[in-house]
Amino acid sequence: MPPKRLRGEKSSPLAAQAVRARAAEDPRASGAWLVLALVIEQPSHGYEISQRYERRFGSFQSMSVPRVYAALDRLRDTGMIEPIALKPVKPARRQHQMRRSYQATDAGVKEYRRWVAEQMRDDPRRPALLARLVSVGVLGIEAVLDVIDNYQRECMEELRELPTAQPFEEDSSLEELTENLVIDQQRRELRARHDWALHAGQILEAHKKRLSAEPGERAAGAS
Amino acid sequence: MSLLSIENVSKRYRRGPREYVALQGVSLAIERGEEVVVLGTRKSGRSTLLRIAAGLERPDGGTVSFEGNALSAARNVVGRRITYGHTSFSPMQGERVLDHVATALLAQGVPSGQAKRRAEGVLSRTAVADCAGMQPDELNGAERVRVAIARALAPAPTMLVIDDPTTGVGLLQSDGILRLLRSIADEGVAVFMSTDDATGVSGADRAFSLHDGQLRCDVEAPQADVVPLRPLQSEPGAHLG
Repeated sequence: MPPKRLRGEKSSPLAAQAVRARAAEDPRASGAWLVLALVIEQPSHGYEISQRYERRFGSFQSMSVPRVYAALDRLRDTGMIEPIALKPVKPARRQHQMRRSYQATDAGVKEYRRWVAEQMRDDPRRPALLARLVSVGVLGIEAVLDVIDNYQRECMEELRELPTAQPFEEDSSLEELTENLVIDQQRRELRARHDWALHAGQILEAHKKRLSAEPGERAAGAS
Repeated sequence: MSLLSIENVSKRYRRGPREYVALQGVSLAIERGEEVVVLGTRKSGRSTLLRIAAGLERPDGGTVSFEGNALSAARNVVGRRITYGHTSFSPMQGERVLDHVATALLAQGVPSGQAKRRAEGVLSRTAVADCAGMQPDELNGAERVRVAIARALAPAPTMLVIDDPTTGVGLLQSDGILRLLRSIADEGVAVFMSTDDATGVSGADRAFSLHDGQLRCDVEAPQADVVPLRPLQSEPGAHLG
């Protein structure tokens, strides 16, 4: 049993790095980060989290109940979540029917935000995934805007680094043509991603303004 | 010292009872031979920013300086050392494309023969020499932009400002224009352009994104000086803690 961590105690940067590296190598490992998102959203026990996981993320990436428990163990071992008081299952007759609930540590929240930002760069499913994350209200609006800004900047940076396609000449070789077409494809795809980020940013900014204008709703919308 | 320095510039427009904020607190610097792109949607403030940078419009607040001197007070800079690539052609400037390009030089006192030769030279430089005898309304979108660039290059400026040179031109033809602007920057003329098409940032030294009159994102080549990004609103995770 690993030592208990106090809330807010920093996880080892190496451990967090290892989890990120695993997530990069193994797509299934990214499920652990989604489990972390759900713990951040609402502290709970493994079974309830697995049910919420299926509702929120199942269409993107399914995860069996034992895998959710394994992800919780890994998150606990790396200090991103911590156990809270045992919650009795009704009717609670025996100790094994008590369910262990978890809450995220500050370090876990910080690592989660970093992971989302990193995913925005490489995951082709990112817009849909981000939209889903936003919809569950895991991140505050400022954090989401930061992620969107970061994503837009990443797209611009990639576009800036790409060369412009050379003119399509009649005497161009097939190799030159295909090379140009690849650059063309990359630029068009990046433009679409960039424009999505721009659109998402505008929607969120409008939402933020609306929240500012309606103070009564601020707490609900910004959480 | 930067070639052009824009510091904390703001601009508002009034239309009837309503006031529009075009720019607020915009700061950036442009160096010699640098290609800088402003990316923004319609009404983002990008055209206002470019007109202010070119000295065609004055800001309500903030300062614009060229080689350390206030642009509003600098003589013989606007239209000579900083030129703006207008894509509209007034009938007052002549019938043929060549006349339009030479007019700016004639206005500066360049003898007509020399003005004509220089006009032919810049039209050739921008790959539209064969358009010299055409009328502006005979030009297609890409040719029109290339002629606009030629006209802006004719006075041999240090900085060329051009608004939206790739709009309505098509991706493949706009690439030719982007390559032309890149080559102009490589020859030492700073290029400051705007676009609403993200592919327009390809090959630029720096690119900014403008939203609601504010610079929001910027990316740049690794060797360039770092311009501060929009600060984070809070420490990561702090608001959720």
